[in-house]
Amino acid sequence: MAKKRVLSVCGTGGVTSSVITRRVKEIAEENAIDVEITNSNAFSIKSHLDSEKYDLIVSSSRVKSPDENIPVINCMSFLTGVNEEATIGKILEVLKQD
Amino acid sequence: MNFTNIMASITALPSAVMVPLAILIFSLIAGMKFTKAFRSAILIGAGFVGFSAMFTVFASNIGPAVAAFVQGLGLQLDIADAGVFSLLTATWGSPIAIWFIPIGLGVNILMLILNLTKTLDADILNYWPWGISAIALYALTGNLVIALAGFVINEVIILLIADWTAPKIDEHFDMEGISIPHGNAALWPPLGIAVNWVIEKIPGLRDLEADPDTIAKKFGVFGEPVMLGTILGALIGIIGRQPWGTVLNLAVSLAAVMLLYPRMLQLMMEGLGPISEHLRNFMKEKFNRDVYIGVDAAVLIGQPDVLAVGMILIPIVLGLALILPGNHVLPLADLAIGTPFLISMCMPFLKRGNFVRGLIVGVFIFAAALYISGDLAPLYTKAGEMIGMQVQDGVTWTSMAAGSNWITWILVKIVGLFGYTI
Repeated sequence: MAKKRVLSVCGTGGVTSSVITRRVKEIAEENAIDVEITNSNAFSIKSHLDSEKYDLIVSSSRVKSPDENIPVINCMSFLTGVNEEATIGKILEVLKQD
Repeated sequence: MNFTNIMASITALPSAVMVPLAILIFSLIAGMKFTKAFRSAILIGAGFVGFSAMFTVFASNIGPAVAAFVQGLGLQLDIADAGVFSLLTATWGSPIAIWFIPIGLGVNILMLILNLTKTLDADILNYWPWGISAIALYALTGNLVIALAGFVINEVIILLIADWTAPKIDEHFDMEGISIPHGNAALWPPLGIAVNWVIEKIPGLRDLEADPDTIAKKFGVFGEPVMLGTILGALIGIIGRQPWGTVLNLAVSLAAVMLLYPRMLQLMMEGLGPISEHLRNFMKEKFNRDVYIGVDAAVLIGQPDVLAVGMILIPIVLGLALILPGNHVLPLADLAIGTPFLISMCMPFLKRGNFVRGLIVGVFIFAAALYISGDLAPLYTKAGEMIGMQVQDGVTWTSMAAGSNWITWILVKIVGLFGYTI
């Protein structure tokens, strides 16, 4: 399976997105999926998508994907610890696609 | 060696050592495994070294250029906005910061037990805006008790605002079970609601609206920190009549500062994240009832209304700084991310995120932010000097987005009545 590229987004591109990045890395490792994750702030999503091909956007806030082929998964549950399993399931579903 | 001696020798350590050490001890007490806690502590220390280095870049490259720029324009904008990261460094690096986590957590737990709040806030990084009150009062009085009392007052007010705004944030942004006790963003809904109340009374104005999505698409690229920093840095150099080499250096330096800030935050969060999670799960178990989990205001920034208003406010805030009578602050480092943060928690109260109202409220918030952060600048500069954040003589700095803490300002004014002057 090819390496998956993930864009992790939040307001600063440093705080909540870092929490999410760490969790996505853990999830990928546990499932032997090769991922590369980049952090971004909400202002810079489009530039990131223009310069690189991404498979998935994960975010703590409800961002819109500028490209309908790239799904956005809301990862608020990683911050609150409530209903994390559902989020993990959604992420794996995207990452396990070819 | 007695306890006082030990405490004194700990607090005399450089902040890049003291902060991780305090976190390490705290994490072990909280029951984390040593290897995990140790790694976290070192990452936090690394983030801290990074923040200090960024401040040096700011103070040595950008500070002097700002002075020339201000002279070139004949302005009185002699206080540089050194950004949230500078104030964060001065706050977490303060000799009294060792108290912030135990007191912040203790007050929150006590309020939960007494049913005074519903917010469970284990987001340790964001205990620091409460610490702004503490370091300003400490720089003013040198008195630990007064400083920590300020911390507690600030925390209590912010937790109450977080409780009070949570239902409306859930309704507007669809975020159930959370609240936002973020000491910079949560300061502003009271002002936002007041301004909105006035707008409601004005026919014509109250019916205006614009589509935030279109605006975000059209102006998107200017909101990008790297673009904003480059353009702003170059402009400051050109207007300050610097040689072209310096102009280019300024453009790159300011872009670098804006880009590096989140990278350093990433390091800090990689360290603080596991501890916060550990605490959150522990507290959730203990308070097994209906609570709001406190999260960073960053979760609101991607929302289209917040993003659009934040972007369009960037040039407006710059203009505001030039025309507001008696303003001394030149907005710089906080321009990139400060604007969406300060208006984020107001948006649900503005006729469900009305763009035009967001802009108007933003103007009032940033007018207040400029005056307050300017007035408190000497205290922040002094607090920074106490831990070796050196600037040239006569230079003062502030953070427009975080230094505009009105709770701190009121506390400083009250304490000032008792004869304390800087």
